[in-house]
Amino acid sequence: MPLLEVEGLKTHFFGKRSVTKAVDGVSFTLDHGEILGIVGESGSGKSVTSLSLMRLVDHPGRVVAGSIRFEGRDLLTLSREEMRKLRGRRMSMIFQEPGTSMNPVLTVGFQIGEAIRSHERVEPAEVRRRTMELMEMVGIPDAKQRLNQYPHQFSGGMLQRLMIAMGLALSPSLLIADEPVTALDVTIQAQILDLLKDLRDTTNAAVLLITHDMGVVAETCDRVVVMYLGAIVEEAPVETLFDDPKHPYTQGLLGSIPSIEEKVEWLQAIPGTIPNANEIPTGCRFSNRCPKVMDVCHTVDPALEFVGEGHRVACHLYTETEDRDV
Amino acid sequence: MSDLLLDVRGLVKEFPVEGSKDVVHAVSSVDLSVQRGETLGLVGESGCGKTTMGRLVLRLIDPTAGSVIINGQDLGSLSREKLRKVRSTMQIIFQNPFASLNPRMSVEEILMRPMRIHLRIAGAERSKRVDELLEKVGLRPEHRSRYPHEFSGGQRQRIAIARALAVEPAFLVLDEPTSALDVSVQAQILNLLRRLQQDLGLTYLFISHDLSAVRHMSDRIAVMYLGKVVELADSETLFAAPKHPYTRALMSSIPVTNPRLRRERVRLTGDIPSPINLPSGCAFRTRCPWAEQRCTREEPALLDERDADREHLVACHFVDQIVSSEAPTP
Repeated sequence: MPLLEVEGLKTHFFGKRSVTKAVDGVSFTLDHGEILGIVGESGSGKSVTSLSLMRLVDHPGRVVAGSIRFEGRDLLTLSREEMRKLRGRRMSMIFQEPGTSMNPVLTVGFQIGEAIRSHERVEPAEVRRRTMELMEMVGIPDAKQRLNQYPHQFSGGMLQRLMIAMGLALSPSLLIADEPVTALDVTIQAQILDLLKDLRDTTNAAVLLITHDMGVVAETCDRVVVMYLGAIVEEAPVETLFDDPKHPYTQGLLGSIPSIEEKVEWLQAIPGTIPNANEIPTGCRFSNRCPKVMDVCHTVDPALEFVGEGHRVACHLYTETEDRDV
Repeated sequence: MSDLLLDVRGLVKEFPVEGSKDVVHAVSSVDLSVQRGETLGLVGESGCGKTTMGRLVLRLIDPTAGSVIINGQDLGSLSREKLRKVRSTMQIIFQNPFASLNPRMSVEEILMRPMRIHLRIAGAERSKRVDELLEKVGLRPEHRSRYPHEFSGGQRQRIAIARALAVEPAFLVLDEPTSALDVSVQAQILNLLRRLQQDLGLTYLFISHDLSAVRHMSDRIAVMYLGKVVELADSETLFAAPKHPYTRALMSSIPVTNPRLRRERVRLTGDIPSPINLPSGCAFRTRCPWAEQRCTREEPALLDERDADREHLVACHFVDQIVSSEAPTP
């Protein structure tokens, strides 16, 4: 049984005049010890998906359909208190801006310790010992001294290490990382991605990595889900996705990244801009920007279908002709 | 040397630190030159001084020392009035198109204003040029009466580019022009910038932290670290055979979009030191896996270490040893 099984998840935001379907029917699974990437551009719904898993979606947003089975329980049926006990202990989350996720007037040692104290009854000396152990695990030198320092005394990369330490304090089985390296310099990014991979290897925690960066996906993930305007358009093992991308959006996304391997004169940009999430085109949501658009694409929303081992695509180019006539 | 557009000599910029005698060493004695029609890429991580360089080159801020010569004119020697005139030949595109356009001005007003200030042309002519500019950057005539908030990030960056082109500049500083944009939109803007360069013969200083974008756009690339240029070469050479240990680490840190190429990285330990207390000797030595005693004592000069016929400047005492060796594990 997979660790996490998301089925038909829909999270909508209810505005005064319109409903924004930020996440509109998303299904995927995640195994123990696996790193799954959710990749997409702004408005793809990747962050709202991760917040929905943690049940942290705020008013006026609401999960309106679907199920989230995690360690055998449907998170959407749990009470607030049951959910609170789960967060931090079994699943935890780190965010893009490590600086703004910490309290500036409390020492980092206190804040990491708090993650332990809020879920377990342990002696202060024990909290201190475990905090130091966590800081060492995520590669912070001189943990004993740095324990007593405040967030502003740490660099961005070090703060992200602290956030990871906090996230892993109670050995959760799932770590959700929402753009964990986007705010960091590239040499520091590499350090943090290496750390995430090392920690996965040592703790066997599953990682759900939310990112807009195909390079980060290629370097880090085992499997990838590509999202566009609230839905999954393609899902594949990481090598398959980069060797043989099927969806025109995935192809466009890969073609628009300048390569460091070879120099091309022109990049294959995707024409147009991403529509607002409350103006999703009818039929296929990518139809208004798709270079391979067909008549059927304007009327029928393609389902996510298998095209190979673990490889699913939502595109009429790959559906059987019989289906197309229906 | 008639095709030299920009020549920067010994440029230094120090910012005072409030309430102390310390200074931030943002740029420390940089020499650079840009040929007409060329794109020079300026790459480095946060705090390396690349943005300050862009501001200094346009004299949006005054240097602490050194000179900036554009078209043979030393900007430091010009009167205010003369400087204002020279400014119409050089423009800048900023990173954030949400902050760089006045939200209360229509696109038409945004584009006509620089023409009114810098060009002596009649109102009707200005208005006609607005349509031409919009077409050049891939927008439509009906966009002229709209306001910035009605546009997406990519379209706003197009407006910012049109505004820069309004005064017919020869030289553009592009300061992270696509960093705030989604990848699919970034590709559109990079393609647009390249086409404009070809059509109008523009010269670019392309500043970015994104090595793949810099490689894509630049003829030559200067790598900066803590206010200094540590390596400079044409982009093919730099990517094929980087020589400075920092450049090598930077390149091996870029996430490559090929999962079969998960490479062994030159791992850098630690963080970028504070630009207030620069390390003695080589500024990179605190993170360099090859650092030795000499690096602490002596600052390496930026010397030509070419293998072929093209210039390849490197500031490192141990270039020869490093190029032929793997990084020692820290």
